[in-house]
Amino acid sequence: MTLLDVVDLQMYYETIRGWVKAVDGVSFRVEKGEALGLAGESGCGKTSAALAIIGLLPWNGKIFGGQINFGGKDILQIQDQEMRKDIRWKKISVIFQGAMNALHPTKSIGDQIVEAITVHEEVSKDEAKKRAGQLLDLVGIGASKINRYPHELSGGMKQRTMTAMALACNPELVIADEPTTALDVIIEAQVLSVMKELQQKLSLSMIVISHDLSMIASVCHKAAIMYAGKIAEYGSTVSIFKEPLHPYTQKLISAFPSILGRKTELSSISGFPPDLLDPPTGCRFHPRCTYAMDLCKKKEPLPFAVGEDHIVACHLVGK
Amino acid sequence: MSPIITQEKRTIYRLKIEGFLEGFRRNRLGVLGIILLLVYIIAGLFAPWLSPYDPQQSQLLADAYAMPGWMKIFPQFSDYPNTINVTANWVVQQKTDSMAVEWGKTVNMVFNTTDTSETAEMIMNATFNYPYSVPPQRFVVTYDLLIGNITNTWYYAEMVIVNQAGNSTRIWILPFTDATTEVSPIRDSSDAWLVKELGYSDPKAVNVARSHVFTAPVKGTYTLAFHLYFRPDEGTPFASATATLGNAQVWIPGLVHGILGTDFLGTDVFSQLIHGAKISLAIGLLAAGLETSIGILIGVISGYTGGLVDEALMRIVDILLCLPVLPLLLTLVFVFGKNVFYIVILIGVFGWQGLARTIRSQVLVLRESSFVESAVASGAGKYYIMIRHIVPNIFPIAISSLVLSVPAAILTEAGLSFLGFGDPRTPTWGKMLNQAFGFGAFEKLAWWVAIPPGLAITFLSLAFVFMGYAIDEIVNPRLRRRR
Amino acid sequence: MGLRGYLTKRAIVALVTLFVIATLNFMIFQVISPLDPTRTFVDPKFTKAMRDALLAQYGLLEPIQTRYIKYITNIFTWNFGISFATMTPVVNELAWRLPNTVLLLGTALIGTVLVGLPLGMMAASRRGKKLDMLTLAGGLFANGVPVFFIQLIFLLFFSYYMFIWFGFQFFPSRGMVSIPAPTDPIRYAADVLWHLAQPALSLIVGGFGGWALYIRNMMIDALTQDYITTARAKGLSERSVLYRHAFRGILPPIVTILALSIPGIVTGAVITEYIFTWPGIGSWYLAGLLGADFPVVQAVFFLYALLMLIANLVADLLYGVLDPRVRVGIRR
Repeated sequence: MTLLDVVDLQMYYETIRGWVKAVDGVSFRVEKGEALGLAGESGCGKTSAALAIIGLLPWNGKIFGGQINFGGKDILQIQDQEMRKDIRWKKISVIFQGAMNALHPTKSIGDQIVEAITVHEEVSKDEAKKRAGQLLDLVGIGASKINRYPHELSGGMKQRTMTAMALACNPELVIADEPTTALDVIIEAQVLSVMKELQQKLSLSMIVISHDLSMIASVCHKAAIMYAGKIAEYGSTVSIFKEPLHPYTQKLISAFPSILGRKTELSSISGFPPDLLDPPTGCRFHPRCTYAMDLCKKKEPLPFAVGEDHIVACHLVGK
Repeated sequence: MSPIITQEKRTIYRLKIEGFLEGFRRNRLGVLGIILLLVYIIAGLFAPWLSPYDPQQSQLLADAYAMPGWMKIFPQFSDYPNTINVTANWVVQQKTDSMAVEWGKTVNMVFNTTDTSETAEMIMNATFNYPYSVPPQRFVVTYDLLIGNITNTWYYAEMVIVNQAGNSTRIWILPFTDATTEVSPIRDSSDAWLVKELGYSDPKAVNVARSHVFTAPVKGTYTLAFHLYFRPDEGTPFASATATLGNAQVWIPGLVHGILGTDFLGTDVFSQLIHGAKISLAIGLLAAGLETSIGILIGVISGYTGGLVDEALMRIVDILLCLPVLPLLLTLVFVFGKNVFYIVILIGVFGWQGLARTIRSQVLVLRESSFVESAVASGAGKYYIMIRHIVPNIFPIAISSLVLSVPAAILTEAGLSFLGFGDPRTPTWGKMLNQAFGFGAFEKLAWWVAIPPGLAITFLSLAFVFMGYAIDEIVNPRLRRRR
Repeated sequence: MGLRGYLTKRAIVALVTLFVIATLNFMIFQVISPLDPTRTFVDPKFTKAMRDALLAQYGLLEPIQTRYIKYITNIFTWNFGISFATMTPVVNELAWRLPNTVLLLGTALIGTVLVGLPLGMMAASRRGKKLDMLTLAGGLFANGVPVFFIQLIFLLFFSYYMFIWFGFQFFPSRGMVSIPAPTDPIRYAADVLWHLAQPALSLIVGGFGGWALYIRNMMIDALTQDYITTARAKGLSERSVLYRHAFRGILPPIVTILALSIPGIVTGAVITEYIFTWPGIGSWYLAGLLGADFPVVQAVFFLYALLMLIANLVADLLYGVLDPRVRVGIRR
């Protein structure tokens, strides 16, 4: 069943020079027990979409339209008090990008997890501490480190601490924002395996935001490829990777060199990500698309369903 | 370095400077700060033309603690006297025939008689106008008198002021004598001996000007009467004498004066204020510049060199930070002398520690950066790196620190001067406050002596504080205001 | 390294620093000063024998090395010598003057923090709104106005103008107690408070702006940190975020500044005590300097340095307690 249904979300940032259309009509769904990967280049709006879900917009961000349906209501419309008490962390939690600074430097990690629990649940401190220890065990850090401070932990351990904290209140949805970006490959593998394990064991519903397609491929059931504030392609990971239909997706996947097979030249996408203040007309990818047609410059392609589990927004497909 | 890279660097610098100026212009407080600073700079540069008097030379322009002139718009002060400085011309009031008068630049009187049994006298009057209903605190009458060529006669003279009620107050007397007299009396109504001459045992108990001369009705004409009385020696065939009397100069120091009144010596406060501008500005900038330079030097060397040098320097900083600044300055000024150069140097020498520490931590970070690494790898020397790479990158902090340390330097100097430890020859605002506090301005409610210098110090400091704040907001983007 | 090791290291450094300061103190006043201390209190009509006897009493006849050693050892027993002016041991007068200064400055500091801290926090949380702008302006202003000018204005208004207008001084213009002092202890305390009001209030007025500004800036900085976003995401109320996370994060530097501003205020008290004729060690220092009473000046100077050293140490200690990152030896 659908846990989270984002419909046509529009969030813009106000800057000196105008409105930056970071999230411009984005729709996706998260099913219960599934992990959705939100992929795309830096600056394409992924983190903004995630922040919008829990209502933590930066001071110059504003929702211009759309709905976020969760638990039967549109959480864009609820009061801040309700969001704070019921939704945040209790139902939806976040593992932030770059956990280096996301943990409070002068509180022990145990205290921070305990705080997350006691804010939302009526449990005794001891009980909360016990649970915090269990969570740390769960992520592989170990309950013995409960009184350590963040600066005493390595990058990977901090990331896992954040994961433990995110799970503290048994949320329905966990949003992981670039969980492995700041980590080296070996630690990344560790963290990934923990995440996968947790996701499977606890049947977590997740949104994994990353620009690392291979990670999304290994962890997520569904994937949504974002470009310039819009969803380019959306569907099950399997069908997207097996049969990428949007030129952008194709380029993204082929940009990863394969260990198997012959050595070929690294392929990349020419050009730069578009300026979201003044995005290109029509299809936003058209300046960099090798298959761009005249139509692409004029008309914005609407999402088109291909098969059961696969939606593309491209003029090449559909019609 | 290839020309393309240098050109790119230049463009980057230009863009950085332009961006900086743009951000500065947007910040209202920063602009305010610059405007204020300009006001002071203009005041400092054009001091001799803006201020009507040279503060060191022109004392006694008016009475001590004379009010600012514009206070007269208030009804209770409207008839306060401005300074009167007039020459009163003599006219003959009364004379005996044996006296003749010749008029010239001075009044020449000739006494000539063959009848030595008759006395002769001469009364000369000079009037002056006092057009105010509020009496002054003091007046001074000066004149030259020469009585000579005396043959066979005795004489006495006196000078008297007659007021409108008809009361006369004697301000000078020459007792009977037959010797030549050549005097230039300066008769000051506040002089103790003049008061004593009038018969008072305690000169402080009475104000001659107010209680004797300028009594009601105050406004009007006053008369100086010069009384010369000859008594020839009896039995001599003839008696003669000549007397020369210069015009009387009447100086009545006013109770109002100028734009900001006067201080305890009668010096124009406004002039002192204006002249203080360039001194304070100079002291502030020089001391701050010295501080910042030393701070950068020590910070960069310590941070970059590391090791023993670093430890040693930081220990020294720690020790210096424990020394209490103001007491130390007081002692050192006491020992080395109250000279404005020493003061500037001392303020600079004891003010750099904080900056050194901050710069050092910045340098520690910069040292690990990739461009420094690559410079080291390409064989650049230690000093080259420090000068060409490190220093330009700490520039923003240094500028911010420089601007913000000027107010501190100005305030420190003001504090020193206020306590009396400033250079007595330089007309600083701190000194003005010191004089105000120590010479009774407060008892006399002479706010114009105490408040303007304080405000001057305040606004000059504020100019730099505002500018520093604007710079800080630009350099530290996290503090930028919301649009 | 842990907290204890960190502290021990700092304490040793502090002791060495103290020693260096004592030596500097000695040097400044006994060696560098070209003034002959004997000139002020030795009557020129004294015979050489009498003069030598007097000097011997003050210990000024011995060579410098002996004097130095005696000086250092004396310090540990709080023996600061004999005041040239009063001919009594310096410690005696120090004992009753020091509490006066502490009273004045303690009150001022507490007042400043009590007003400035909440103001700064409120300004930070209401950033961009009227309270913030006012705090900003007030704080900047406070950084520019010389405190002694504020005090002079206070004095002019509350003591002199009030006297002329109403016949009595709203706040007394000098001293710590009236003359004659009330005998009843409660009245005495009230009298002291009445005298304390003006100097303390003027210090608070001059100081709270700077504090508020500083706290505001640090809070704004703290509020941009990532862990604040985490805290908000956790569903904490804005109040919790402000106090339990942001403020807790800047507590170490605040406490440091607090500890370090104590000596600053103490030394700044010289001017305050001068203006209000407050019988503390600041005015004593000034009088000593003007009267060439060097034992006094030396003693107070050393006391100031000692105070600053202790304040630094306390600041470091508190910092170590509050910010665990420092204990590992990371230099801030």
